[in-house]
Amino acid sequence: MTETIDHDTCSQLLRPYLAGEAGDDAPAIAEHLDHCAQCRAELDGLRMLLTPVEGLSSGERELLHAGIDRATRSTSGSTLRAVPVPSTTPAAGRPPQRPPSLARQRSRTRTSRRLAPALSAAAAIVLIASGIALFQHQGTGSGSSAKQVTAARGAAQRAQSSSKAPAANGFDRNGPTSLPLPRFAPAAVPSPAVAETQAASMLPAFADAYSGTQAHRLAANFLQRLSNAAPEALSAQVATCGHSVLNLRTAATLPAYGALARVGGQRALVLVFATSSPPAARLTRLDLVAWPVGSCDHQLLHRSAAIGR
Amino acid sequence: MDRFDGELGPASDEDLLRRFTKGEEAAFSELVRRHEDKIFALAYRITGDRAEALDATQETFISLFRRAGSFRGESAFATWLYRIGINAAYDALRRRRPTLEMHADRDEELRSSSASAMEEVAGIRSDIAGALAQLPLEYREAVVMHDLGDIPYEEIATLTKVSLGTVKSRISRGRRRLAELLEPSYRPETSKDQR
Repeated sequence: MTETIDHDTCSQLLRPYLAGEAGDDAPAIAEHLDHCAQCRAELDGLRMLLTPVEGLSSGERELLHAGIDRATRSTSGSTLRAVPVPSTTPAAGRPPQRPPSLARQRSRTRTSRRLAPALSAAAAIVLIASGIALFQHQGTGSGSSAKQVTAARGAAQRAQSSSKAPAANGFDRNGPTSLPLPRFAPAAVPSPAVAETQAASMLPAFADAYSGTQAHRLAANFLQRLSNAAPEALSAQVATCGHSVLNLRTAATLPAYGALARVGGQRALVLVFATSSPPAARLTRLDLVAWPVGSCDHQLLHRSAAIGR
Repeated sequence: MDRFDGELGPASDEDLLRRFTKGEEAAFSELVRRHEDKIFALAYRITGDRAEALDATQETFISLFRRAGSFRGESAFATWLYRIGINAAYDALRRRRPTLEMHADRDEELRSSSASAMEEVAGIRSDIAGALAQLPLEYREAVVMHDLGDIPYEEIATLTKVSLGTVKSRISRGRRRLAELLEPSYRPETSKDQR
């Protein structure tokens, strides 16, 4: 077959090619790569460079927002607040204060990954502003500022309350009830099929509530929630196995459900994700993945299915 | 509908920046949320250290807050912000080794830190960050700006004052060199670096 692109063109198209976004150029790129060692080497280097970075944990995100907030705080309140409140003075002209280095808070960051619910009340409000505020306006349009402020305060109070008394059964009941949140089954289920049935009953609500773009944004946050909701012995594995899935995906992948199940007589961690198939933005599929308890090295089961209505 | 899709979601980055400079702080919050993950990943690739990457991400958005009014629209907002992020990440590396020479001109900062100095930077870093630091300066600069910072070839050519062809060549060679550095068993005959 005749080569249709040259080195130069191939080099420029490698990024979209790796991302699966090369479109009609993909066959020509693949053909060029077949017989061009130089471009294959370039692709390998680029692939290594673009190895996904483990996303910000909720604790890291909280620290980040708190640091920015401290440095840019105005007289009208928090910069990263949940809702827009009209400012009386131009924001850009305010002299910010330099916040303490986050690097110097490294140990605190690491602690916060495990103990997110126990973070300070002030920081919890920032977390609410950055994450949970998403849930304020579902189905209500822009709403009034007064309603938004009230809703944000309510969410902040719920978060502070939840930091003191996490849900005993492992289900996250502290967020607003109008939008679905990930949950971990409170009791072991007998098989992956039962886990899938339970997850499948939740996922239409996920598909209705979250776009692919929102799923990208929320994935790390939801995985943290799922990890927090899991029994303590499984919490770290939920985070590790969940990240191993998220890191491999370019499509939107939202952690939705977790359970302890038996797979082939073996105790297994089952996680279910709501996913989209590019280029569709909607979450139309569920992915169920199972690992042996205690390891994320190999998957016992991986199943994909359409989300039923 | 939520706050991203509703009130602020459909707005472009540039529109949000304009609204922020007029006093709408929620527009700044939205810009942070839109770009924080990308900036963090970019900074982590350069520093190889999550805490330093977090620091650099924080500094990037504080710079955005301070310098929002200086955006002239000569490039896309994201390009402008990612350049700030790259500078912040290299600043984090310099703080790790305070004796590194400091330069006043921020646009020259990427060019100023010598490869040998970068190699001497102490501390924990990922393999990828370590390999990046071993790249010849002109390769590293081009690869970081383009592949991590999404900065277009043409703009890199302007910033680094070299031809477009040179930028393309540096990116291509830099990627191949990275493959060799990151994979010791990589066969040199499949990646003939012509430099």
